[in-house]
Amino acid sequence: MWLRRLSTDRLRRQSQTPVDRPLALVGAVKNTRRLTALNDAAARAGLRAGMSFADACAIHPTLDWAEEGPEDDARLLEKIADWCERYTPLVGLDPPDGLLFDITGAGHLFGGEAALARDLLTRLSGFGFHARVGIADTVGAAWAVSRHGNAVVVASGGTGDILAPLPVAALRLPPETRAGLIQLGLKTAGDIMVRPRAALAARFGAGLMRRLDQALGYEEEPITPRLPVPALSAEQGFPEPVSRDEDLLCVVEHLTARLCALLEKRGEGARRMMARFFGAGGAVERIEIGTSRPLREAAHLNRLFGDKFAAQQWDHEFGFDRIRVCVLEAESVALAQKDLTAAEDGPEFAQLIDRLSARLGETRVLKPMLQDSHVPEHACVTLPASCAEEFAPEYFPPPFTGEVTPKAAVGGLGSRHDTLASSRPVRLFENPEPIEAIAEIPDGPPVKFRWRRISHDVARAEGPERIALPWWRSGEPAPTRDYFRVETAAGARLWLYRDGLYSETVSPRWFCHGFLP
Amino acid sequence: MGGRTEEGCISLGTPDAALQGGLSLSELHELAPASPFQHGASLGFALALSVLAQAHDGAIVFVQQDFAALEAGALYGLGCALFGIDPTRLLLVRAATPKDALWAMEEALKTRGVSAVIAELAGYAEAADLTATRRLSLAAQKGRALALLLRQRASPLPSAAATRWLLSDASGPSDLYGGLGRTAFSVTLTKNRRGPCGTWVLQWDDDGSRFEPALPRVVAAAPFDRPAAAPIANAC
Repeated sequence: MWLRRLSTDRLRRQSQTPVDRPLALVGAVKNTRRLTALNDAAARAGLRAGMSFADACAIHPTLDWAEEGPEDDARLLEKIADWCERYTPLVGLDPPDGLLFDITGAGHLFGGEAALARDLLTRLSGFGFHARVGIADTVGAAWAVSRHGNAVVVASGGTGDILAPLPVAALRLPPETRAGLIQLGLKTAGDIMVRPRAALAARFGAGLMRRLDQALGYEEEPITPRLPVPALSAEQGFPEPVSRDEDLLCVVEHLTARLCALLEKRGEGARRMMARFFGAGGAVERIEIGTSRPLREAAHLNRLFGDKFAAQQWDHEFGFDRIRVCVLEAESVALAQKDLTAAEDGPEFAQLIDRLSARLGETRVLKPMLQDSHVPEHACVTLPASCAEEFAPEYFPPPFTGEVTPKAAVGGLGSRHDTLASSRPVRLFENPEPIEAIAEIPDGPPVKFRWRRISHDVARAEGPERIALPWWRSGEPAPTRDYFRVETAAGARLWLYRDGLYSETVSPRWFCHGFLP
Repeated sequence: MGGRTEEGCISLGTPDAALQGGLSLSELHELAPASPFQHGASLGFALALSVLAQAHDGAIVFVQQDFAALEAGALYGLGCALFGIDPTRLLLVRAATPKDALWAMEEALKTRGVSAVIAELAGYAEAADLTATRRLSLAAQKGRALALLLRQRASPLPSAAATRWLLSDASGPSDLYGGLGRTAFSVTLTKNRRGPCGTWVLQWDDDGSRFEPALPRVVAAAPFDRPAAAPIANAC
């Protein structure tokens, strides 16, 4: 599909000015101000793209003009591509102003390929876009027909006949090759087809022959999809837009149920799913959900969609006329027979993780993981609970092989971690808070300190526990920390440290790193 | 392990009499630090209660509002070792707003396989009003999990919680090497539906995973096998 007036259509849509006024976009090309795009009215007035701005003003003094915006155009093209996914999941970009669709097997859903093209053009012109469509066996032929041809649908096998009368520009050639061919008197694609290949390839390089072969289908040319093509998808279109939340969710439920049946046949479960809502007003909304394990229980997946849906605030006054639910990632599920005796708390807990992750975000539902590090903030890290199990083996320290303490037998983690663990705080500040402390030099515990504008007297202190930062990692000398467990006169227990030894820095600073129980 | 009694209560030791058998599961309980620097005690006590409530390797869910984490620090997995909690059985939830935190707590309470849910809200936690706390106690009743609501400041507002506690660290005796000694909490019961209020000092026995009443000082055992004041000459 070729959006032939993309840039000017964009401006017209924004400013709502009449279509019949000439409009041109101006940009700097090789240090000259030239017209880069214009609308139909401007073309009729005798302007051409590539003309210098001064000439254009001389021809048409009251010309409307604006600066070009390639980024805005690209964004708009992306949006249109989003919208076009209603026709086929495989949509590729062809910058600056084209889109490529693979509609193999999708035509009959709209009553034939010609009907699909008609529907597409009607809707786009309703949005104010000037578009042309070509449907052919190959990307090259479709491109040529949409830009230079008259027919919309090229019958299968008739590619050569249709291409022959088209100008050489229809072959997507670089300007130098094009100019060279025209100089030789080869004006149409047909002229090139009948000439000996070797001579042309020797003169213009292999690129020319490749383009010709691609257009004729002798060489494969795949479309690069914008979004990964889903493993499975189900969709539902409506003759009239639907806007009630309950109705939308109900449709999503039906589609999910259909997908779950398919998943079950394939012996798989979904890890990531997406629901897309194609708005009648052109907007496309999407909801994505992730699960912590492969799932194919429709009820649970629907609850995830429902939670996510409730958190959305869309402006859908025109409603949606097509809904698609697709499985983006699927994994095989081993069928497990239910155990009669075991407590069945596994699935429910995993569902809780999914629901919390769906509503609050995956980075807000975390599991602590122990690491083999002696730096307090690295010894225990948090990972998103939905993917923690996949990372667990790497993060865990090697199993402790020494004597098992009674506490480990009771169910604690003594078997996994060092015995210092119980001297650690129960709360840790992400950013240690600076304090002003009075302490005996060089490594006495603090006697008095000031934190959060309150002065604290130290009643008892334990320490120092000296922790050297991994200087071998960064290569720079890192200060050594001296940690003290401190009890204030008021009874609060805190974990303080001095950042650096007196031999390392002149005046080390003190920090509060956490609360002890 | 676990301190669950037959009637669905957890035993705290001396306060059990006032609570008529112990702290009941399937009810909401509110904790708050007695002073702004006692956040360690409030979370420590909550974790201790969660361990006592833990049955069948159930999970412990800790929901924390972002602002509460800035004020008092986030839960540190290694620190849980003191209470014998396996960090892999912990689920941490960070909520941006008090509303999200309360929602997450309610969802967690309704889930099977969760044995305790702790939610910490910043400041007085005004969002946890009478209606919200009522919802939570109903969810706790259904789920049979221990529901603990941590306020960062003791709130004077009414609440549907069964009990309200004020926590601070109790200064116990030093250990043999002059260190801080064992963890002890000074707990004050300020609201109790089932009986009188009161103040107790509870010491956490980290080997046995249970509370025991704290003795004020280490004292020598009473001399049963010899006279109280045996003359030195006789001893030699």
